[in-house]
Amino acid sequence: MSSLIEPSMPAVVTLHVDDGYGEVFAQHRVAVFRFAAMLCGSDEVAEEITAEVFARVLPKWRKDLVLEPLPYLRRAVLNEVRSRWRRLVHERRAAARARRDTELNPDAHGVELREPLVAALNRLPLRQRTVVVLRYVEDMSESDVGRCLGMAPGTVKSQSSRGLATLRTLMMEEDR
Amino acid sequence: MSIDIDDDFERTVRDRLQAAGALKAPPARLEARTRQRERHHARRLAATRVGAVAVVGIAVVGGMVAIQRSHTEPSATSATSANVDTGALFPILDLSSVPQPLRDKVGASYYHSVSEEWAGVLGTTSDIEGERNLVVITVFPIGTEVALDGEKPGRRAGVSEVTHLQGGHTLFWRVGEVPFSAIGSDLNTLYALVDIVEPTNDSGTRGGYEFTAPLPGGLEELVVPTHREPYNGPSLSTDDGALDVGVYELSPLTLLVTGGNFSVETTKVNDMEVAVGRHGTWTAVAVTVSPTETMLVSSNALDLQQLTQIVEHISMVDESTWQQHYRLQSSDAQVVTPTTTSG
Repeated sequence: MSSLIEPSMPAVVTLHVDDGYGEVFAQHRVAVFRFAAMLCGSDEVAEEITAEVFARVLPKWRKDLVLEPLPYLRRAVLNEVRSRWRRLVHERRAAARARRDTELNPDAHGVELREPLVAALNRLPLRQRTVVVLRYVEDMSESDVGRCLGMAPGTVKSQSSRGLATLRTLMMEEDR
Repeated sequence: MSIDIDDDFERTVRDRLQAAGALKAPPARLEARTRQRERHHARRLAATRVGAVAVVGIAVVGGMVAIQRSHTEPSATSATSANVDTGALFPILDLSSVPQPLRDKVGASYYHSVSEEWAGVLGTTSDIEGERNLVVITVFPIGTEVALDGEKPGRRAGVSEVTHLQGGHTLFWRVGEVPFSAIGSDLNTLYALVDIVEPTNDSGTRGGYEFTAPLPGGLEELVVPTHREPYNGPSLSTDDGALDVGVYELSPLTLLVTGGNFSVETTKVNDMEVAVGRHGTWTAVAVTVSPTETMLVSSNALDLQQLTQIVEHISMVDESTWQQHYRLQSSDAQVVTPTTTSG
């Protein structure tokens, strides 16, 4: 299995070094952002969701209520994506920020080239999409995905199979 | 069901999605954005001992309990919140989903809440049939006078009691200078809570109130005390309570129990999890619309099926779109802070 390459990042500025949260932020922000971006299909919305999730997990982390940060953060991301209304808030904030960014720097607005498979991924039902992202992007085992999502391994397997089958159909349509 | 997918395709998916995922780098401003969101949440959890607000009248949702608050004297501590939040989400009804007789009767307005209380919910979580024992505890800023309609002396000195016509009770008491109220269906539970609730310590991480002993009667803390900031919220309603739609900065459980629903169920409308409360002829559906806001759709005339039909067809828009749609003026959103109130 290939491993993920960590994108080059600007120097890490930590949050709340004293209580360890900065370390959590630095260690997991790429994974959390990537998960959000692959799930919702928009880097702008993923940025809003990632910021919101870290900001909300912070108080829990300080109270020692979060033992395993990454699974907790992923579930929080999923909750943000799953809730139609919460997602609307994030989309609105992202759109407002994109408008401001364009006004400040009109030349910076480029055209994003999308991998057709990612476009197809975003057409899957959320449950299948989540399983496919965790299995194939995050390289998690079926049992780890099950633990993360609260699903039986058999359900993970069937959701994964259905997701792949749909992806193949969509890609075949794309090729025609 | 398992579908055979050949290894080549699975490998292709893994490789191509991982390559796409590897390009997903968070922007450098993510930390600043996180700090901004963190400050936003921290403001909502500001310390409980704020100075008393000028006069406030809050009508608690559902029309069952009306608590009138009046200012007596300012507390020695700091000033009140100067800013009033306006909601980010404004509902627009699809009138085709509203029963015909109500379509011409729905009007839009703002409601203004300048209360700054902390409220949380306790409850039993067992699956025993019948009513769950649900309680909302509220702590008000020092200096707030709380008067309850139908108030009478309680079982013990210093506690006032109200029994509501459609079931449930409200107690009011003070711990030192700090006013408390508790709403619930079981009077014994409410009195047991009076003995063990006290305001939080300023230096603690928890806001509002805390308990000095284990919770009685199998109660668990379902919603921790949450601070309510001054807020301008959207409201769509008929004059007769046949349909009310509002967005509130309270949790679904807090809203429903405060409105006298002590038997709250959860169900799904499309993919949304909603909380449903019923008492008497009143039915309410509460939907979480943001991390801090809940939309409540309620009626004293429509049934759950009719309400969920309406909920499914509500669009959430920004404030200016909402004002244009319902022909409201920006000045309608201005808060007029009264200087006196009647009980």
